[in-house]
Amino acid sequence: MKCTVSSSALSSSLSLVSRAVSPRSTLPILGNVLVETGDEGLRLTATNLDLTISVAVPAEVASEGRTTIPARLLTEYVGSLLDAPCTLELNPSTQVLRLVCGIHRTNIHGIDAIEFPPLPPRDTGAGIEVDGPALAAAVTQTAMAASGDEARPVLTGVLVQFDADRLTLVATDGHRLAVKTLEVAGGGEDAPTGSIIVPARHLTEVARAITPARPVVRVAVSPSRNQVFFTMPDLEISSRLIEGTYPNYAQVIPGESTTTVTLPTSALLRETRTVSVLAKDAANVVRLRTGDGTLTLLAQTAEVGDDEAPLEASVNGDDLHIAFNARYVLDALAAVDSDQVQLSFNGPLSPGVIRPVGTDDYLCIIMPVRVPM
Amino acid sequence: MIAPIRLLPPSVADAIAAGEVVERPASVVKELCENAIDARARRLEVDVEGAGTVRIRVGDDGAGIPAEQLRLAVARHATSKIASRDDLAAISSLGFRGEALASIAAVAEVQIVSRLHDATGARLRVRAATVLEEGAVAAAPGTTVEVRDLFFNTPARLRFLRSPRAETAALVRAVAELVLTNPATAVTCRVDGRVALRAPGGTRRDALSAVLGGAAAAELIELDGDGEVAVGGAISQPRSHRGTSTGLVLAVNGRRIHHRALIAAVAEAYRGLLPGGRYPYGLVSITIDPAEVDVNVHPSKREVRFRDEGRVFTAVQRACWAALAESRPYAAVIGDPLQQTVTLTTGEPSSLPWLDAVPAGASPGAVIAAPGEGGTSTPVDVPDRAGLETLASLSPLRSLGQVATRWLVAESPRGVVLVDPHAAHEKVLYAELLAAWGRAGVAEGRAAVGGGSQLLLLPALIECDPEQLDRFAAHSDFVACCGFGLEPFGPGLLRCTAVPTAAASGDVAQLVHDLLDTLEAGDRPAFDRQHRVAALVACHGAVRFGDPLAPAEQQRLLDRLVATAGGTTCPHGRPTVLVLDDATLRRAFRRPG
Repeated sequence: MKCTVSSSALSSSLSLVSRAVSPRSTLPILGNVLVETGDEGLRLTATNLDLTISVAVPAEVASEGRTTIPARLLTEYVGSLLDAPCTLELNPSTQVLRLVCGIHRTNIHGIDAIEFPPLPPRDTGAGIEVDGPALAAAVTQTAMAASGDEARPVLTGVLVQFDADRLTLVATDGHRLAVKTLEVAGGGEDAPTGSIIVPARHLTEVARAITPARPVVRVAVSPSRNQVFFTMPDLEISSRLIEGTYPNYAQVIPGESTTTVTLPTSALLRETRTVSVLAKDAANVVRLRTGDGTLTLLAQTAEVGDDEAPLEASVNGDDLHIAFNARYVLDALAAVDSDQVQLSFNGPLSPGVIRPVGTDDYLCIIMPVRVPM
Repeated sequence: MIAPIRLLPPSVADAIAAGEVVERPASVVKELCENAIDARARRLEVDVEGAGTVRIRVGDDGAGIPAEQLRLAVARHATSKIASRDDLAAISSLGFRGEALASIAAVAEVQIVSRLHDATGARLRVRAATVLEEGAVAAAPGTTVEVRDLFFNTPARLRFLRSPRAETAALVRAVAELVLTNPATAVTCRVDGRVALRAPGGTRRDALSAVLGGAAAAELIELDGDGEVAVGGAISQPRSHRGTSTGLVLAVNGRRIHHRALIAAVAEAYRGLLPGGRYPYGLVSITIDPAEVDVNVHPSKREVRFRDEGRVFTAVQRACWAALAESRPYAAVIGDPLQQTVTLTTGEPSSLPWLDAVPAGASPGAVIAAPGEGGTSTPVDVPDRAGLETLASLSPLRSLGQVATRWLVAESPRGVVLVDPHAAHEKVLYAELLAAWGRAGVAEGRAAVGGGSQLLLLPALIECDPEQLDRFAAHSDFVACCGFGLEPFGPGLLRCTAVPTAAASGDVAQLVHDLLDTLEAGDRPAFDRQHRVAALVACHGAVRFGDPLAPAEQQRLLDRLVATAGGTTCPHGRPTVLVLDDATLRRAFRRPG
């Protein structure tokens, strides 16, 4: 194998694929990145068996070949090079990769690519095309609600539901739930149907990889429905799916509400963050009290102090005193992308709903905390 | 034919009564030593041979017995300690029944040699209550009682003695307890010619050091409870503990006693500080108006009754709590040749002067050696600085990072501090929960919810066995107060709609199962139940060992830990922090301090 690439292009691609490298794997080969030549130039692939990221780097290929190189070493090394053409040459018998870039003549020992785990078959299943930035935003808005607790694996994922002209993303950790709907162009006959559960962490990697240079993402599910592929022009991310039945989220979305509050998102976000400082030692609980034209935020920690902050708001319905984990409120508000936010409640022990004003494609439901008032 | 009723001959009556006081060789030693102390002895020598069945010799430098009263001394109900019935109401001497010498003389050969300071010595030899010899003799001031052939005429008692080793241990323990309760008396106890225990006679610290060894005694915190029920002595740091509960000695007005409720009072003060199955050691010495306590309950005076037991219980607990609030973190001890190691031999025969020299530079220390192991020596570590840091003295504790997503490393004014993040977080949450529940009155079942309760968006269905359901039914109000929303949901099922906020991020089903198992042991006191549930919730809510913590989280955890009372151990008694102070590191790196 012999090829020439730009060191900066190689560096950015390496940092992308290294997200799939498992640093503490019991299989040493999984700490390596697969480097191979192909039709598009040089292709880099890393996998932890659950998540695989593969990216094409434009390159002048002189001769074909493939090997694997320790990912962390290669990423750090190439990242420190000045931007210059870099020539990669593999000695197949020793598996030593020789990099020539600028003044450097570098040899790095690799492991034969034969030992690299077989990659999932390429995207051949049913797929739809989704607007890249919109998908990235939707992932950010929902993945934060997924659970970090492996005890219920289903909740560590994001439910991705395919409908005729919509893609719905749902995540919950049992205390809160986020739902985002994306309009998609009709996917045609081979569009995927039903729903899949994608590990939230892997979806976040997809969102991270989406850039203006990758405006469209093709989402496809393998025929055996155990892999999902996110394909961009030069990049492919595939993830294992989580098996199991996702809870019926629709039934926990409240229909009516007895109290609604509308106010500027940024003000509520800022003041909640401030008030929550006084809640840190009290299980992070902030209380919300509605009154005539105000929403009052309260926090109190015994023997530490308390804070009370009335905010001007448009309030309709019954007076209410309710408490939430501040983190859940902050996460939800950060995910709201409109100027105004609407909060709706059904009493102090029923879920509260946070949704942007002006669109109905997103909502976040938070279960309250019961505290002595 | 039925035998007629008749008065038992004195020898039989004595043998029966002796059984109450003289159960085993250790009781002989205890009675003789107490007599010596009642005679205001300042020095006491105890020599034992053959686990006490061959020979027990107790010599003192006390007041002595006049020659003409020697015969009276071995008579039943003859004593110099009380004179009238009124004296019984307020006994200040250790003995008072006038039975001990008579009982011993009934079952052994006893020789008493005694001399008043201004008289000549006298000797009396008695075997099975029969006088064998009597006369003048040359002797040092004081009294020496020698008991030979113990239980020679009560073979049943002899047969029921335990192994020589066990009897010897009991015997040395009896002397040790006497040393603790009478620290001013210098005591040397020899077993088969070897010194098993030596106390210099001085302060209580000296006595504790002598009995427990220097290293263990350095781990003691003084008790300081004033008032009508004064509580003194010293108890062990939570970081230092033993496998049996016998290391804790109770004393009332200088008398070693056994009292289940008071032991429980001490144990409760240690709740959440010690690992399971480990016990504190030390001495809890109660000083109380003698009229408030009745020691005439049991012939061996092991048990006492208090007029107001609740008051004594509270005083002991308060004193222990106050002492333990200042408990110190675990200090690292790195095995090192430079570390000062004092070896106390337990071999050399000793004669007067009573007190042999203690190795220079060492705190006086000795060990209760297991006799019969020959002239072995027992090393006693006497660290020159026994980690005298309290957790508050580690403040400010600045996080330096996390090692392998496990241990936190921090810097404090006292040196490097290693922290177990799970144990530390557990303790912080535990203390916060107990405080919140205390404010809300959870123990009394008053509050609707103590602390906070995170309602669940997706209620969890939990399969329970019938026993778990029974326990839930018995404690349902209590668990609701703790912040659990649990309700029966069909046969064998509970529905969980809320969990305490502290444990909200964990696995609900596992938490509820553990909760129901924790409640298992029936009618525990409310405080205990609360402690167990708080420990459980804290354990589930705490960061798991192996979870990476962001630098800000690390610092916050350390700040909260320093502010937590008793934060040196987790609710299960495991240490939370380990201090590597400068002296320890210097020793390890062979760098002269």
